[in-house]
Amino acid sequence: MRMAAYHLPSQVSGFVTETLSFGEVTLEVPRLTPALLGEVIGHLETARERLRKRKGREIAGILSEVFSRWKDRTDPLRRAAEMALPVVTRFSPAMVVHGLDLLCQGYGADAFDQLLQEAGAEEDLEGFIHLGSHLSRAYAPVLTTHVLAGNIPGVGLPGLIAATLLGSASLVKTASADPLFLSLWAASVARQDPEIGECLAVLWWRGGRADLESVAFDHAEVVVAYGSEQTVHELQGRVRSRFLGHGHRVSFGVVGRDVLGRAEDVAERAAYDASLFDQQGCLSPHCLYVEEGGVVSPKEFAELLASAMATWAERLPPGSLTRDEAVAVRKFRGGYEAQGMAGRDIALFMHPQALDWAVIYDADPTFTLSCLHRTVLVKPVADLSEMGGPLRAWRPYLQAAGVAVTPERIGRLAGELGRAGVNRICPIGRMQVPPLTWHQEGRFLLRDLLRWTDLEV
Amino acid sequence: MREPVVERVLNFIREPGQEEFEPLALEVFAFQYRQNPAYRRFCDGRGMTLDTITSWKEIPPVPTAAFKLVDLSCARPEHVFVTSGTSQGAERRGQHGFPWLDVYHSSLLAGFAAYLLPDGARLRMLILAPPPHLLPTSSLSHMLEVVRKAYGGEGSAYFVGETGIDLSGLVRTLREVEARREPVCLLGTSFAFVQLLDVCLHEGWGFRLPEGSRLMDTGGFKGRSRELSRDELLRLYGEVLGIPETLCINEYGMTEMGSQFYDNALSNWVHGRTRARFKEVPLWVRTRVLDPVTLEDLSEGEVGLLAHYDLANCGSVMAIETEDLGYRVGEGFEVVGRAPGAEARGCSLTVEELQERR
Repeated sequence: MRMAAYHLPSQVSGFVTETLSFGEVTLEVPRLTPALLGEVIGHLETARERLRKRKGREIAGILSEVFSRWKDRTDPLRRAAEMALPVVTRFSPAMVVHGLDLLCQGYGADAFDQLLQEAGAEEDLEGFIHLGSHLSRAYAPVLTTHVLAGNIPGVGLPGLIAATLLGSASLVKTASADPLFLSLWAASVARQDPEIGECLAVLWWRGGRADLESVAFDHAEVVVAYGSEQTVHELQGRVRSRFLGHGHRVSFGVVGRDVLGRAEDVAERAAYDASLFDQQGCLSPHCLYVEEGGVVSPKEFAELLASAMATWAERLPPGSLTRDEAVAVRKFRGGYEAQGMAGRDIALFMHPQALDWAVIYDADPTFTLSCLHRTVLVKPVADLSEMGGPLRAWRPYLQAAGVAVTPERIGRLAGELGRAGVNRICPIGRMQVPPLTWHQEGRFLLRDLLRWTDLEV
Repeated sequence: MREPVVERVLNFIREPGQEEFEPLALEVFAFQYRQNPAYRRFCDGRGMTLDTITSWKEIPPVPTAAFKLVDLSCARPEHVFVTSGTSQGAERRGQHGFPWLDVYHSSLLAGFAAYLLPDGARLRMLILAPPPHLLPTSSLSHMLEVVRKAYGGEGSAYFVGETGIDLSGLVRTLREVEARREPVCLLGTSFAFVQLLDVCLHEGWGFRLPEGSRLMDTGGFKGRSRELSRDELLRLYGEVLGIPETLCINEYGMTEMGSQFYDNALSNWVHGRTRARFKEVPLWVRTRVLDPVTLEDLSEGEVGLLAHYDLANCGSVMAIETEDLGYRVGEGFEVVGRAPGAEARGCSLTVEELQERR
């Protein structure tokens, strides 16, 4: 199977392509030069002048139509994604289908409405308005450059959507782990509304190409970048304009003793959160804290979670592991087996041979990273009010907490988690479906892209 | 009086023709399951008990990490060896206690004699490793001392002291034996050999060590020398020391095991066999190459995790799952090395990323 994994403004032509091989899928990408990239950016900037005049609300309508067409599994772009993404991203076919469905659900018309309402940005962009003692006007970036990472379909979409809603053109550098999905998405936007399509360029190059990156960064007013802390830090050093970095993050779950009467249901939801995208996402829980003193002990909860993990492994089978990944997973789980041999209070629940999933009960409440690939740690916590302790050292990396507690306790727990640095608290079972209005990294999605000019009279 | 199964293992190592591997392996397993509470906990955790195991392949191998956390001896050890750590730095070290050193010695001597001295040679040994009094917890130093005492010719000596490797003394000795046409056996760590080679290359020194001279290197470079490929090492041993490839034998051993593996190149040559060079497996050991995903045996040439079932480990745990990668060749295997850490696929922070930072 051979397909194009790029999207360009229609006037760019006459370039040479090269191929990226992913087993039986071959992806074609333009062979980029600084001159070609400069030409692409020129076209984006010109096309953007027309987009700028359109209302955010109208663009939102178009984008929600784009997603509603993605719901249709007979749509050619969706079919291309379903065929190629399992090979490219190494998620199982069922996971790819499920992941695409989730995206469509998350980006309905309501989601866009809420985002625009919260930001209130539309009026700000149209002229100077009174803001406190003076007048202020917001300007959207002419060009936003997005540097993406990882294989999870849809990472980076919120930033891309936000830029588009504001009338900014976007240059996207796709992730090596998935150069395909966003180029298909851009094609679906262009199909729906060619004028918006002219303002999108989706390209891949090997990260670190300084000649290309200086062009991509120097022309952008905002650079949004995903990646490891090292990559993000390194990129930041080369960006002179506004830089919005998204380093790798960790998430976890919290289960209160008062909901353990329905422990099976909670375990089922938690297993879904941990199984989705094979636990590779920044919203995937590494560990679950289970409060002691309920009708089910934390160790018993681990066993229930294990059986739910097994069920989800059948519903949404895990993707394939490379040899090195499998060795790393085995080493991690083996390390806990060894601790169990040494007499520590550890219990392992896992498939005896395959590496499909594992639940490790560890009586030590220290927050611990998992090796991922559906390996969840279950840890006891004496009382939810003590949750801040184990999280302290992880503050810079904390992302979401999926919680299962009774409504009376949520306020206090949320306060505790928010102070600890968590930027999203949601019900367990909903961890992987953040709303478009989520303040990722504790920031505003739309407003962070804006530049303000104040006028004092 | 020790358990009869230990005597049977000892006899098996000394005269392998007497018994079959499998029934003895199952008895050793039963003994270890009974005598070793930590191992029993491990087996029970995996749902494996005395009743469920009917073939040696079902015996659950312990991850080598366990040696870092728990005493795996089945009886009071006569001696405890400690792993040397790896280039990855300050991690916790593994410990392996041997309750019966005579079993260990029988195994190590039989292996060494078969693959380093298949022609019955008795050579002066020049050892590029610390003597056991300087590093009493090193299983390599212990092994080399046992070998030296059993097979070393007159003038055998260590060339690593408290201040490190004595390169000038070694070079002087090499000059002497070269002049006297006295074949020698060089034994030591790979990084010590690279240090020797680098000095010789730098100074322009070269040797034509007398015919019959041979060399055994072992272990990784552990950040203590530059890293050379196997082919590059063999080429330099030939060029700098004048020892032909056939007589350069790599040993693969680990503190966690009582038995070692050697290249069969020299024994092939002495016995007139023409077959590929690989690590041969002694009769009292079985080595499997496992698919890390399924733990099924891989076919010849496919790279997977090495697991060893070593009867000489009758005093601790016989079945060991290593973190080393290798592949099957003929009736033996070849080692590829440690698996590198896996890269992040998604956007979650990984253990590997965190370790790199620290």
